[in-house]
Amino acid sequence: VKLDYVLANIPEQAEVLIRTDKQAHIRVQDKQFLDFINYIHQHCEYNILLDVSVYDEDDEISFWLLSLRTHEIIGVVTQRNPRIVNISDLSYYFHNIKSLAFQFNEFTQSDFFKGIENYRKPVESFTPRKSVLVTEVDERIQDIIRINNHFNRFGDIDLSVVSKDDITLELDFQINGKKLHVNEKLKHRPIEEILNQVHKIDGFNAPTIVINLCMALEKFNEIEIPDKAQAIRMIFLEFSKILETIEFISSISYSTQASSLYHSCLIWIQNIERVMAFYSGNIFHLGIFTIGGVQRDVPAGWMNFCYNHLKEIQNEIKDEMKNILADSLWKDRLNIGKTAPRDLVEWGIGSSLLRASGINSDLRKRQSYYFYDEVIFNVPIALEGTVYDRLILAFMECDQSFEIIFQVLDNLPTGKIINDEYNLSNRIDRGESDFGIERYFKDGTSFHSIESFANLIHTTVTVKDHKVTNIKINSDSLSKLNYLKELSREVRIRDLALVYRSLNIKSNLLEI
Amino acid sequence: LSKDVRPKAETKTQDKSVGFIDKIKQWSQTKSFNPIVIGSPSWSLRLHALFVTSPLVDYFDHMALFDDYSEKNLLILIGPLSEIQKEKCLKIKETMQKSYKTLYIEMPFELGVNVEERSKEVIEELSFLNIDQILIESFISLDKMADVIRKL
Repeated sequence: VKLDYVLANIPEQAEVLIRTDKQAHIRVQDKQFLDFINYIHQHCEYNILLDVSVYDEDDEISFWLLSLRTHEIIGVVTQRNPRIVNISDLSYYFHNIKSLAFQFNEFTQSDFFKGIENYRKPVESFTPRKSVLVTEVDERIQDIIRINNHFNRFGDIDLSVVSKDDITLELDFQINGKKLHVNEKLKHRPIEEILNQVHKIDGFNAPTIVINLCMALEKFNEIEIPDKAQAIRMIFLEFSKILETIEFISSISYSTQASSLYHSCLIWIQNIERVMAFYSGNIFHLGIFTIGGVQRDVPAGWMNFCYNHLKEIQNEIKDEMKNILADSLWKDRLNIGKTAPRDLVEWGIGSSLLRASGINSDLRKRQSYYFYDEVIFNVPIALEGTVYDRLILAFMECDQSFEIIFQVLDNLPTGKIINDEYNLSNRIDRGESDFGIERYFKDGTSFHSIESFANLIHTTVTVKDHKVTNIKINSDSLSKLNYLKELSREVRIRDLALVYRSLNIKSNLLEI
Repeated sequence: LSKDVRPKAETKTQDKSVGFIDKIKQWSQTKSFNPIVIGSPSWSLRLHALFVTSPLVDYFDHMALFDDYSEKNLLILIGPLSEIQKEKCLKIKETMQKSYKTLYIEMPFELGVNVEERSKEVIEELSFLNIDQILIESFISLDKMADVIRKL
């Protein structure tokens, strides 16, 4: 159902706060909230729950829903009322609601979500028998296995498994990394500082996270971006997508012990990062993206350098894919871990996992931003959703994003790279005393979600009195980790590492 | 000529006498990095890529990436560590060689962090490890890491 139809038929007491081309925020009274979400979910088919965000100062809560058919987003805002709204009512439709809501510390303290304290169980480390939650002790269970070396090479996540005849019966996880409270630390800070700090959240994803934050504010405030800046942003988005796919291929080849493929992946990563560092001067790509455009123009000689290096790497990746397709061993080994598309939708998981299990959804095509509607590219789709499908899909998507980069490089527009109002040197010439960009912003909340190869990334930003009072960056990786509990049933223990890595869970994005 | 030839012939005979196990012993005694990274997977991938490709870091054992059971001698810790990760470090320390080196890296999300105080805290927290280098900066580049590792 299209967004216009939904907005024409909302209940009387609800009001539309903000309406952009593919987004709407609706305020609903707390008594009507559950009925309204039922109506949207069942009648209008807004299936995927993207994010839940809470504003303590106003005592408000907002849910962000996406429809797979039209790729339009509805934000539902209500008052926080623990007596009326309860999490257990909504978790029937949206399985990922607990993992989204868990990210707030205040939730665990308040009564709003009952029973959420038990969600992350305190697990004693290095005591395998206690760490696994066995609800019913079965006589058939021979051993409890805690997989040590193969999984936690980096020491970020532990998985513990109850097995019978080398087949998993039950699985539990434990996040070892320290929670950094990034979202809380970035509140009430100038926007330029926030843009800088956000760069170090996740390594290869830095451009996508920053561009997503910029887009949320730019679309809300209707800021125009020059054509050249849009093209440069597209190039960086595709670069980070390529790096993510190669990271994925390397992790799969590591766990299948395909050493030559793993080493060539490392060399590709290094070469591509060199091309990007030639542009930006550092591996984090600091000081490039701002609101209103891009700060640094294309350096002299970069286009040729980029074109030659990328052509080499693209050909090497194509050759590797041919080798894998010709060899039946890969298909036999990786024919595991089937995902059902309906489960993925219920868990709110997006991007490449959806495409691997047969759903044609690409935000670049459907909700196209920048020049994605003018560039020619295909969206590869696999049907069965096995690990093999995900691997081949990674190769094919990598190839497509190479071609997007070549098309953009061939047709790079000329002109300015930053909007005149937001250009710092122009503002100095005008004799302005206050250099903060925030005074151009409207009050209100803005939401934007973008798709990287691994996961969906959402940002919500609230601005009040020309200051950023609240910021939240979130992704679907925690709900993926919860989905692994279902997916791992009846999988051989030896294959668990492969299934876990094929879900592409980023430990940096688990608890931001 | 005859003087030049003699030592070469001797070495050839020596090589034949050396068995496979002795070679492994020699290889284990040479100074080669066998690192393990705890904290952030994206950093560890970047570091592995750096070790494989760059000529800055010479002594690095490529195949040691694949055997998790081999002895590690370089421990790289990233970010503020949780208590579970500290216990993991303790466990790794027991399996490591006696002459191991440790590197601590942190990129805090707050401005104005006093580096000296923070490094003292880190040394107190990880008192069971002999930390050789501590790097606490807002942004750390790969080249800097390579420099530090070369000095180690």
